[in-house]
Amino acid sequence: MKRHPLAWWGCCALLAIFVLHSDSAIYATVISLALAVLVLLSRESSYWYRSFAFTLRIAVLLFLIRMSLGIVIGVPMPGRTLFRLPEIHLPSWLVGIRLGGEVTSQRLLTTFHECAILISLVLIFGAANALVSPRSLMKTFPRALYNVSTTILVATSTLPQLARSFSRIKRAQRLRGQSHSTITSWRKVSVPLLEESLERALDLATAMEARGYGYMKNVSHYRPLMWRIHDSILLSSALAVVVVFW
Amino acid sequence: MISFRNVSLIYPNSLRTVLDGLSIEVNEGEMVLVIGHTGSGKSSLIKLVNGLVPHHTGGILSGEIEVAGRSTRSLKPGQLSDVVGIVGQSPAHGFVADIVEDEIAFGLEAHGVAPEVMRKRVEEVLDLLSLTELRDRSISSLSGGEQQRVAIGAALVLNPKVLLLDEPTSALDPIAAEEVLAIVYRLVHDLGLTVIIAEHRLERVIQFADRVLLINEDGSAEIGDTATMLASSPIAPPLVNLAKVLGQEKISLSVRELRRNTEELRNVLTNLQPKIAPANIGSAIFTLDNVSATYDEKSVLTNVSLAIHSGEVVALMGRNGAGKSTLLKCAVGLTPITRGEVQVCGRDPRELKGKDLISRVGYIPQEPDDLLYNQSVADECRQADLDNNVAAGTTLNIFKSLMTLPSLSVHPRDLSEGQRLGLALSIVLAAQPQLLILDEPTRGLDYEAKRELIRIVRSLARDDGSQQRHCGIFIASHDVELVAEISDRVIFLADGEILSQGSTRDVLTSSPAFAPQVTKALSPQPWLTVGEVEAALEGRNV
Repeated sequence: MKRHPLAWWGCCALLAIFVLHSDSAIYATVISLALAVLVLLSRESSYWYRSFAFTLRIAVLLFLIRMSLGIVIGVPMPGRTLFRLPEIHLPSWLVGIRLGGEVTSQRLLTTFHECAILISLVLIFGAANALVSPRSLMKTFPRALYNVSTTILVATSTLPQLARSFSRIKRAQRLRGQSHSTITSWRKVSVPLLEESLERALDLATAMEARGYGYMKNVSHYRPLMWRIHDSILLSSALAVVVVFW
Repeated sequence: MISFRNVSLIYPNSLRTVLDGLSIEVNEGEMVLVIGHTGSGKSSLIKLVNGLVPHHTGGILSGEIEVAGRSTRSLKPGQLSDVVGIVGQSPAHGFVADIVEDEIAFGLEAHGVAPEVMRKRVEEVLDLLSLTELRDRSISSLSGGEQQRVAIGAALVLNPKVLLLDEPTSALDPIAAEEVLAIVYRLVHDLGLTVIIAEHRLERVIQFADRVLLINEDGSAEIGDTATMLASSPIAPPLVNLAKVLGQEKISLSVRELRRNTEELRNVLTNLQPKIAPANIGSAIFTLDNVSATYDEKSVLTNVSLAIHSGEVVALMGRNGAGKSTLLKCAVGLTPITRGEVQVCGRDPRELKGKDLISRVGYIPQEPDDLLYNQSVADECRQADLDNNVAAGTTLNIFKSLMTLPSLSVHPRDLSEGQRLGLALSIVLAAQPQLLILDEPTRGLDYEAKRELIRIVRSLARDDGSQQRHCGIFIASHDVELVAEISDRVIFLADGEILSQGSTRDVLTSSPAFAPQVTKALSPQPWLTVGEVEAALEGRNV
């Protein structure tokens, strides 16, 4: 699945705009599922797809957090009462917000709806990242956007890097006899994880600097990226989806 | 080519002078080896040459540094990239592209070289470093030595006059290291390239170096001819120490030279035998029975059977990618085993968790950093006491018994490599494991730290009745000098299969590539270490 990087990112950007505009949980779910299948199909082409598993985990985590927040905190909504949580009375100046209390079907649905859109955006970004190595994306940027492209390169390289570091650190913690998935163990993972990612990002920036990246006016390409007919097909089919269902 | 005039360097928030009034001239086509203890400023010196220090790292620099007539004061590293190429400590962190060919072309692209010229240059570099067959491979699928070659190629593609190498062989097995250094040596002689190289494992590089620059702890530095510098330096490879023990006046820098100069002296040794204290071996604590494992549908271990007993130190050797780490991970249940049986103290490690696991196996991964995640040494020790359910202060006491303590408020990342390894060891030992596993422990350790490690490991294996002792110790390493000093037995792994196993002496003296320097120098006599020779000679005198 060697396509022009801009074709993939353009495609994903269009879908993201569409999801935001249509404001429909069904479209959002369908699009995320389709992209997930696409990523799985193209898995042999690069190791970036591994980062998608990490994106999936983040998406699940986001879903859980958003859902539980939506159930506990919210504005009163009409609809059939599903169950009742113990309510905490807030001071009178916080009118319209409440903690706990009745959970209605309407409230649950609205929360789910918002969740689906949020998560599909995360998944679309993750899929774009998994389908196109950020390094080849950088090549398509014009020289004037040097600072932007460097930032994007370093930032996008961090995601797969994070995924690899995460599993390594988790493994190491097993070696120290720590139990899994408690909140304190999350805190313990995050510090070395952050340190390592920053260090790696700096290493990469140093290596690029030492090889003269960004100093010359004219940049040439060893393997010029070609916009092929398949890329046009890909982008226009995404456009077609958006136009038809707008 | 490179001139330092009265250069001093201090990093911000630090009181130590890294370099103090350094003045050196390096001529074109020279190969200078930089030596010094860990953290003495070898990397800083290397990065000063192309301006990464202080432009990228910060720091206060005085004095003047010129490379090919250009001052680094006003020029940024990128502006010097056409005269200076640099290969960092871990090349894998600095790769910008996914494919070998693209990685090598990156510098040319950034400099806007015309596509036709670019193709020619890339082709030349691929040939020069014998990378032609790997050109389409993904970089992450390459072995350590191959990656190192790609990094050197990427640095050379702009035709620089100076090449800087920061510990180029620390992650490589002896054969890959030799390959990389031979290529560097050829470049110096064929192209007149100026090379500055920092390296801990002197035994691998001294024969190639023209001059040696020694950086002392206080920031002062001396430069001189390799033989004279090593004769007086506290840091010296086994070959130099052997020459001293044999009472040679002139230090030999290569095995060939030493053999030519010591024909008579060696005769004296033929009548002597190395004295070996017999290991006090207990029962088997780690056994593999016909184990096979696959990773990503590739077979990484095939029908491996072995046993490690308490009280013995066993070394696992083999080339990069032979499956050493995978085999070690069996002991903590991290390897997906497809066939066979693994037992640690009579239990399958995959079923063990938490305290049950760590009280049987202590495992130090390749990066001891992975085990450390607290904000200070004191926190780290306290955490280990809690994890292991032992009395407060136990871990700290173990640390104290292993080495001189660093300041307790220091962040683990700011410790030296040796101290970090010591801290990780203390944490692991606090659980009183019966099996201790070390994966490539000498990466980045200087000779002094290595001696310390050898002493610690030896004393852990010894049986003196205390609970802490009489461990079985299993070490994966491609540092042959370490293996010669430390182990009772060697298991040699190739492509996931056990190729040979036996006593250290039998295995190491029978393979020329994996033989320590002393063995090479004194063969066919079966000596392994300078210590043995010295003890035997002294015994004769008495």
